[in-house]
Amino acid sequence: VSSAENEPLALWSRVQSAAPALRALSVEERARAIATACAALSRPDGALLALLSASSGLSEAMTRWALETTFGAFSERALLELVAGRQARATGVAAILSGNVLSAAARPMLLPLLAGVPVVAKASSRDDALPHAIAQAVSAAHPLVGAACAVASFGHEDDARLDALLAGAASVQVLGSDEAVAAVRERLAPAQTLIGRGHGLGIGVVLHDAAVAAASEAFARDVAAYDQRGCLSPHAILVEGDDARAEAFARLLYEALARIARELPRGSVPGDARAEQLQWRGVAAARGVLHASITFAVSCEHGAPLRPSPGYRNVGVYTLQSRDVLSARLGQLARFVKALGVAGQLDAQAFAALAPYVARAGAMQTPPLAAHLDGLHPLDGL
Amino acid sequence: VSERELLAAEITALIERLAGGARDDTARDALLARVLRYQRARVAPYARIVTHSGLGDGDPLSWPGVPTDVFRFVRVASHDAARDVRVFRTSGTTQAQRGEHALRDLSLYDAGARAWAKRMLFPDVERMRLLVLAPSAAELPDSSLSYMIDRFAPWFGKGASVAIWHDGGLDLALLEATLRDAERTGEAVALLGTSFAFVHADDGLGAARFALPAGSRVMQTGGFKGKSREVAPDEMRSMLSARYGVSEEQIIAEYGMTELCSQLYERMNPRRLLAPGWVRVTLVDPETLQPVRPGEEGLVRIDDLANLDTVSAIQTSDRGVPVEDGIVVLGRAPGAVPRGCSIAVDAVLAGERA
Repeated sequence: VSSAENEPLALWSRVQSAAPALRALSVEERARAIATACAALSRPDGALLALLSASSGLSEAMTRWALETTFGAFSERALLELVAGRQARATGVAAILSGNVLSAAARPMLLPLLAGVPVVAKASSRDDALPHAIAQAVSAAHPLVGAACAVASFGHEDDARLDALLAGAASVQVLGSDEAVAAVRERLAPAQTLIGRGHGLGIGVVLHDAAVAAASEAFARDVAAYDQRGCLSPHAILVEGDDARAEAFARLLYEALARIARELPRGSVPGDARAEQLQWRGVAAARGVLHASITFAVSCEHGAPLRPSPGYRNVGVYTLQSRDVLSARLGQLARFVKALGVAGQLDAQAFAALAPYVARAGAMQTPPLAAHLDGLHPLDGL
Repeated sequence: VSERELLAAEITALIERLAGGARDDTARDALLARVLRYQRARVAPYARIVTHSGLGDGDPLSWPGVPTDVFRFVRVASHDAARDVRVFRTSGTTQAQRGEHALRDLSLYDAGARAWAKRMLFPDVERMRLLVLAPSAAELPDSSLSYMIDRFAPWFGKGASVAIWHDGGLDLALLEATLRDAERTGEAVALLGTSFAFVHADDGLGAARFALPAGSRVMQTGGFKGKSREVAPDEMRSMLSARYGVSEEQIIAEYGMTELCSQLYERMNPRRLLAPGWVRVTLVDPETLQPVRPGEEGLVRIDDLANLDTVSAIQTSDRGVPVEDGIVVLGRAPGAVPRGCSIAVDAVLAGERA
């Protein structure tokens, strides 16, 4: 990437000059272009796969799974259903990608284009491979759509570039920590719209009517996905019933994680996460039952207060006396919950107050395109 | 004589024998093995950790240590809470779960802290004037650091310590006046405090510089925990030397933890932390918990015989590398890959989210 191609002002100039042509396309043409690009991205070649695996720390098999499930959701039909009846008002979207799982760039980069709004994404210089791949795939699918999409790569300390990026945007989407969202909010003018998607976690629930064996298989997939580094990833799974049922589920979940590890191996783990994992497992062994291998672990901590997991396939199982006390049982984690996975009779309305996104067990990490993550319509802010 | 009393007497004797810096690792390890067996039989969380490791039938020195986080979630002690004479707590916000180190007897703490501080901080003097840049034990009764520094006054102090930190902050006027007085009288002083307090003092003292009398020294300890700007160890040493006119060899970093009764102190050329002879320091692999190969980086595990009434084997999250007869503790391991958007454990435990 040359210097000029990385300067936000130049990028805004380029995408805004392409905006009239983008808007002149029918929504069907835009949806078809995006769906075509996503079909290509869901089947990456070996070089891209290796690049994304190295930059994300996920294994190649998990990287392939993440791309297939993420971009597979961007079908032409799903895109058209999503945009039906909605009118975009934003003239330009800045997508700040900071501290995300691999495929988090997809929605903030592609949905503005679907709505006819040019977009400039900001990626960190050490993790910009997928944003660039998305921009290239869109250009290959439809040059007029691709011309309205650009990527700038710079570090979080580069305030001058960040201000230039924000200055060109009517709407800003931020994916990152609460601190990152707050830092961007401080820089915006009152007329600019901000959609912040901060960090969070997922919680699983095994209701009394669920078969624990099937539930363990499903939740194992949710835990393994993205190596449990996503804001929808379950940190804790509550099992309705007594301690014995929770223990049985924990043992089955451990066995299911062992099977998944053969299909979708865990990737690399940074040093600080390995230290956190050691601490987390130590607490589990000290106050409950711990099933652990080098690359995954399940604790069963019965009625103890829930605690967060360091991720990387370390999940806690707890007893839930009754679903009526679920809200109270979440304790200190309640305000961080972004996803609730349910095994058993799913009554989404009954659980809606607990998490913005409620899913069946096994589908926590593969939300449909129309899912209201963070409680927002995917096109809010455009 | 109970088993505890017998072990306490043997530990005290070992501390006295090794107080001058001598080493007898064979005797230390033999006693440590007995202490770990004693603790396993009486401290349920430790027993569960050992059982889970599958190493319970082997040499106690091969058993895993208790990770420091365990002290945040369960009581780790061989005695009932009713017998606690002091509970030291890790720092944290009111919302955070704080680790608790519950002691039924402070005599081993005192013996170890006094002996090693004498050797590492005050080997050349009986007593000197102490200036304290940390809260007193009266102000912060559950701080092990405040307790230790308070105990320094009767052990090493000439008169009462000068409390530069009081009522929640630094008294810079008192600090400057006391240091000027030392310059005038030529009487050496020891400044004892937390790293962030020294940074605040440096920020607040402006252009003032001091030329403290020969024999003056500085002991600084702890991290910054967001309470001040962060300063790297070498920069801190230079900063303190320039500010107070004390040679860099007389600026001594202390490494202590709430979960430990003993401390490590820094020596220069090369810079490394030295443990007393009753403490065993091992670097372990974070996943297998087994010792790393000689010379390799690992997580610091400390076995402290003075922790008789809780658990001696403590597993920290600090990275360390061996350097000659000691270790250098490194900062937190850098993330080699992006962590994703899952919220960090620390953020939840600290209740940081608004």
